[in-house]
Amino acid sequence: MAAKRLNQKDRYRCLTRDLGWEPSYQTREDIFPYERFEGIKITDWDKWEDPFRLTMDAYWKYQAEKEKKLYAIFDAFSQNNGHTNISDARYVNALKLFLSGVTPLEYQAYQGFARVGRHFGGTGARVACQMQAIDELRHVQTQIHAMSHYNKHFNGLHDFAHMHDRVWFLSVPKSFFEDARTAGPFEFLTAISFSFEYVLTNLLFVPFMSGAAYNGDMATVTFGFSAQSDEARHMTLGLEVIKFLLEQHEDNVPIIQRWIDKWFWRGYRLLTLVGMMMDYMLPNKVMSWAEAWEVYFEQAGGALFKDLERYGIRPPKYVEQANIGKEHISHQAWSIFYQYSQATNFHTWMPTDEELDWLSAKYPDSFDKIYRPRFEHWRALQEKGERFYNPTLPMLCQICQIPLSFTEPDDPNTLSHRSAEYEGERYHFCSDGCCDIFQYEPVKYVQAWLPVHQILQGNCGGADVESVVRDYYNIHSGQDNFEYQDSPEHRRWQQWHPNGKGAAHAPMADHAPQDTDTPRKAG
Amino acid sequence: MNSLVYIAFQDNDNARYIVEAIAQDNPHAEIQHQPAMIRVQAPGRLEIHRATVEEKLGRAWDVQEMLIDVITLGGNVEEEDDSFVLHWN
Repeated sequence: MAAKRLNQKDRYRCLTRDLGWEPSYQTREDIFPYERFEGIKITDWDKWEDPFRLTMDAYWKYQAEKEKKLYAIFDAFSQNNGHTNISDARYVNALKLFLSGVTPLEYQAYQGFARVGRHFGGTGARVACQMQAIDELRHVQTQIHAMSHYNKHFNGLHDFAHMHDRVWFLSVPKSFFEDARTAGPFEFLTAISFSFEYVLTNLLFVPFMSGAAYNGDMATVTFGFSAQSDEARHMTLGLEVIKFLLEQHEDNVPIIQRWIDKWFWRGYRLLTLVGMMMDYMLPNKVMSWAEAWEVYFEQAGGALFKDLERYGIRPPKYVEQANIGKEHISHQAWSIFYQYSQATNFHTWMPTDEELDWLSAKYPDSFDKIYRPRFEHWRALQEKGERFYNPTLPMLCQICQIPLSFTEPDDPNTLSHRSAEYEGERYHFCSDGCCDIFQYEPVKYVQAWLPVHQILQGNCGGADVESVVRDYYNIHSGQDNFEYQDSPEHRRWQQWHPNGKGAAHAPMADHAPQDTDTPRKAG
Repeated sequence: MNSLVYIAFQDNDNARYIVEAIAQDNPHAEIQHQPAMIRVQAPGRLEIHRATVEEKLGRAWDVQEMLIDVITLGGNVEEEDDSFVLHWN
């Protein structure tokens, strides 16, 4: 007679909790040395609930199925020259930013979860972190595979890991994750599982990936949604972690609140890049950044923080500034990248007439008043053959590392700039949120590797920006960078589509860098 | 007003039946079709029942299979052998 099948709860207990044991010849304190220094008090690890109760055997089975589906689509995409069917070659620039800015974060997430999984005393927590570490490694691999097809036909994708470690704007995502990974294990989980995965990554993976589908990029939407299917589990873990820590001891509440305040603001600043991708880099648009913020932060986050109220948790500090910022940050970020395109591995451009009208409609309170005149001015310069590039180096925020170009929450015409002194040196910040983070842990943040400082100190080779970009960043000048209009990539796209596909641009640059049309192989 | 819980699926052949089952069991749910995805939201609570999904799919279905097609969700999760529930307290 066949043995009775265990139900899910029993299966989970046997295949997860029962993997733990009580140590006999070492103390728990010696085995898990990082469990106490952050001040978090755990009284009973057995209270840890994993709502998905996923066991390792089921995990492998479902992950294998996801992979099979995904790689079948990658094959179909490349066999059918899917890259020629996207809406417009401008779209690929969002992928360049993704590959060099986001994919290495997946790798950092893998490293982070593998480490904290080792350092928790509870078996349930260890298994959940182990699965997530494997998930994150899968995301790195699938993203590299998906994008390797684009690398055969487009510029700027050839050396993403090298660029992630060096290029000025990539220090924004890089430093974010390094900040989390150099914190203690409980802060790491609050930062990544809760604040980032639960509260904010929807904004990256849901509307942006839906946008990839809308722009004909079957490969990206598929890896995006495949990754996101793991994310549903990660998000649930994030919420359970917070509830677990808050229920364990009341002394945990103020510690968690401070981490939520800090990591909400860090994540919000990081997502500025995603806002810009959605509003400016998707030729066919699904929703604006402001709309995505309303659905996935204001609405979903509102429900979440209402639920956490009973633990004594309030919404993150400065949330009202972030809600005001939704009208501005994507336009301010695009302005930064447009003027520093000489130093990026992707192209920028001014929006077409139709796109300007879309932005006006989506941002009625800010776009026509502030940003449209600026963009029309830049378009006029471009038409005269004087496409604007900023020859100076920007001043960076010591915390988020974004150039100081955000405005005051109550005055969109005034630059937001804070500063603080520490041991005789003055440090600069983009906002109250970033300044607060510094002041709580100055010893950590005085060590920040700020790309502009490093260039000026001579640590990035080269006596000028051009040689830093070429030799230190490995960006091929004239191919990977500068204006999109009349770039080698733009001309190649026109050869593929002699009857026109993609945007008809108003402004034409007459001095865009001229270079070979041959696509470059990975170096 | 109750806070919204939500779940989004890839728009594929499996998920279409799951969404049909959700719609039947949760008359208060709102279903939104977006490029490549289907989002279901409801005030307070959403329930997915294995029996209804199996009826729609015409085959045996494990609740954990759903993870293959889910893109995101919001709310406290309660997963059992026969159901998957999202709710806010």
